[in-house]
Amino acid sequence: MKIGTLSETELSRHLHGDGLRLRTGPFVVSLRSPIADLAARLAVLYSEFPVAEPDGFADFHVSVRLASGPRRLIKPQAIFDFDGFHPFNPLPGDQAFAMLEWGLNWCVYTHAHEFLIIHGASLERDGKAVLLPAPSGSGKSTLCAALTQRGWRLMSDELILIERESGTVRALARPISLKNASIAVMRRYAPDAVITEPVHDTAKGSVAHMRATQDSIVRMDEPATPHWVIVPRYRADADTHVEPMSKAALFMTLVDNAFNYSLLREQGFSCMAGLTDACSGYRIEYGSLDEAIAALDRLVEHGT
Amino acid sequence: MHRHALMLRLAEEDFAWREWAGEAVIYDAISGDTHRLPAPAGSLLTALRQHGAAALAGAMLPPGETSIGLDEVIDALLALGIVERIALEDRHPV
Repeated sequence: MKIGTLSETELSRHLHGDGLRLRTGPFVVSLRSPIADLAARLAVLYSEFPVAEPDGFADFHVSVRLASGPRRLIKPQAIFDFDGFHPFNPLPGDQAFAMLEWGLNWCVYTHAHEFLIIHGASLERDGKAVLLPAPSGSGKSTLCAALTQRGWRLMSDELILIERESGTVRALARPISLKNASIAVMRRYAPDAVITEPVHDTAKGSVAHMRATQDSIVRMDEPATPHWVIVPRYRADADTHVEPMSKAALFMTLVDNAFNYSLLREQGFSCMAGLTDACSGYRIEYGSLDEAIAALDRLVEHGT
Repeated sequence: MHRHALMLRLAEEDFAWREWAGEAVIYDAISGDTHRLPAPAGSLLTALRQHGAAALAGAMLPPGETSIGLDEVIDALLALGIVERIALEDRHPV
């Protein structure tokens, strides 16, 4: 069963009751929330996602609710709750869905240590994965979103999951978080894509979410073999420039963007070394999405 | 005596490392830190592993490998503790 097959009433009953069991890649999340705007965005962005068995195992039990008290009437605040623990300060109520997304990321990168987890996007074509490790503001999500419109399957926008034993890349395929100018850029670039109305004045500026392509969701259980690491950097009006990275530089870039490398100690080193062995690394500076994608296609197809 | 003639050996017990194209990345299990050292650090570590202890550092680099910067690399490796000097009395008779 998909979330999109639930009626508004059924979805609300799950979110108000024992929790909606939402499966995203290898994780099942039990989500409760009485916030109508969150439910509406969930229904749009997660419509193609499977609903897990209601009495089955859930990796994470989370809720997003509005703080109680008189403040609720004047300036409501959203609270993210993980097993009774509040890892974040409350945020304005209209940021509830963004808070859910950030909270789910937090759940994964603080708990799922069966994976080496790297901050970045991952996409797949022909069974081969390209990884885009980069911090916020690099243009990573914009390039990732554009690639999903040009034949690449979204595996993840924020968290690259590397299976420690096999070294393969696993998919999460949740909505892509677009910030600030990239929202309008993607509306122009992909006019048929589903992009939510932005929420303004978040810690990351204005934030909107783009629905993952159906192919990305249907195939979210398919792993991929890592082949390329692309470190993107957007600069307005820049000519596209591709620069190969040495393996040692690539290794350190991946380390710098990893969430749990230090925690995994020697196993983290070994897994990161294996990932470095498997991948060719490049830095791409770009000012045009189409040029960046063309450059990436040349790398993938011809290695130049 | 030129620094290239230092007698060195690998002290790998508390370290993991990899070499790519002469460069090295080294994981220090005690501090948890990871270091990247330029070529020929990786070639030197590989040579030390292949030749065992008590070899001449400068003579162990692969043919054609430049020894430019070797002194600095040896200093860095010694500072990390992944290589150590060999005292004369530790040398085996030949």
